[in-house]
Amino acid sequence: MTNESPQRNISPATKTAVMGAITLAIYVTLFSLEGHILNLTSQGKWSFVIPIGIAFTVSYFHGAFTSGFWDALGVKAKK
Amino acid sequence: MEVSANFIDLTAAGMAYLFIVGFVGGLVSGFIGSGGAFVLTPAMMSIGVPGIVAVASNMCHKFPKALVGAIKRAKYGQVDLKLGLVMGASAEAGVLYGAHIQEAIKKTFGDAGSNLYVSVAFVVVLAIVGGYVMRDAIKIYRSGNMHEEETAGPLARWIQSIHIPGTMVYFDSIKAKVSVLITIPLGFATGMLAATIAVGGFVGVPSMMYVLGVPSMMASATELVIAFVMGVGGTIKFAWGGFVDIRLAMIILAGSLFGIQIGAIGTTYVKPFMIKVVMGVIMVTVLFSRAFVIPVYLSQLGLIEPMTEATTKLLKNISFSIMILALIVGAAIVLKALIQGMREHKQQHASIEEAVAAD
Repeated sequence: MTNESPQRNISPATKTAVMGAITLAIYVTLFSLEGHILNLTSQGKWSFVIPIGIAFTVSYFHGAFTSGFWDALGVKAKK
Repeated sequence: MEVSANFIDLTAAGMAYLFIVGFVGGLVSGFIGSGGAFVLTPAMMSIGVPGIVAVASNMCHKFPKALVGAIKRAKYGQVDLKLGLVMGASAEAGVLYGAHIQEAIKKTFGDAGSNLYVSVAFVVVLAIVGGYVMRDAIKIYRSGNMHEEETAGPLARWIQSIHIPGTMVYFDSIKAKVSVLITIPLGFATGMLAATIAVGGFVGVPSMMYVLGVPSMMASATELVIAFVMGVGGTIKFAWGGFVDIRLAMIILAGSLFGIQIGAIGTTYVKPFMIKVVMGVIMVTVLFSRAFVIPVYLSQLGLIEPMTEATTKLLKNISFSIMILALIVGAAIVLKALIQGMREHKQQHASIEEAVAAD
């Protein structure tokens, strides 16, 4: 098919590498700015959305990375 | 920048320790739907994290982990989303009520009273439910029926036969209607246990299996949906008070997402009764862990002779070690079953290919 979206051409290995790089960037940011981020996330009240937002973001990127990681190592579900 | 005294300075060793405990916990949770989190609160406290921050941070890692696990297992067709959401809603109410009871006990009897309540709840629930699950797993193993499809037991068949007009909901996992008046107390009890011992699944999964008749593979996967719902609610509650240490939660999450993938993949290679084996083994082992600290709290409350500091420390260390052991044993069973299952699958595949090539 000629009209396939460019996304479909991305190999699983590339996708895993990209997800891993984004995850790493999130963690580096989190720990290099830990004082600021801890202050933001521990204010209480409506700032509860910040830790929840961080958790959702990490789960999306890191979840995709870990899935691709084990897949690349051959640890796959039985079909 | 100055941060609250609630938050500790993290060392590389502390981070590595939490990552590994998170990984093993995730592995177990991915397989049995829960059970990996009980060790995380004491693990964080052992490196100096205050109790409430440990509970809050545990909760904050739990819901994204459960979400990833639930999505993974839904791909294998193991999740009953409707049942998970229905039970999750009542579990949320159970969490709030359980937390209220905890606060009331702490106010009246102090920390020792609260710890004693948690430990007694651990021992009683795990002895009854864990003992039953373990007995059932042994019975299936001895009968040699491990390969047979699971059928609803007598209690589940009776529950499914109850018809209360206006309350009946159809659930895919059991291919039958059950009254929400039955699922509500089950979810509530799951939430109460989660608020008390951090693992609602020790009631949630067995209650879905034995009371509703949900196959064990689906019950353990659906528990991840319940854990997600409870985790979000719990995190909002603790984050509202500013108790979540996002660094701790994210380090544990980093490890547990590696683990939960393997645990979930493992379920596709094993016989359903293995869920009961892992759950039973962990529950019974943890039961002994908590039994060791009960005398410490009884002594602190003045209900038995006072203990020396050395004895108190020894009992607490034994308890923590047994808890870690429970998690390691559970993870080892999961890994062994996964490796064995993958090997057998490859051999089967190879023999089929050989047969095709010979033709």
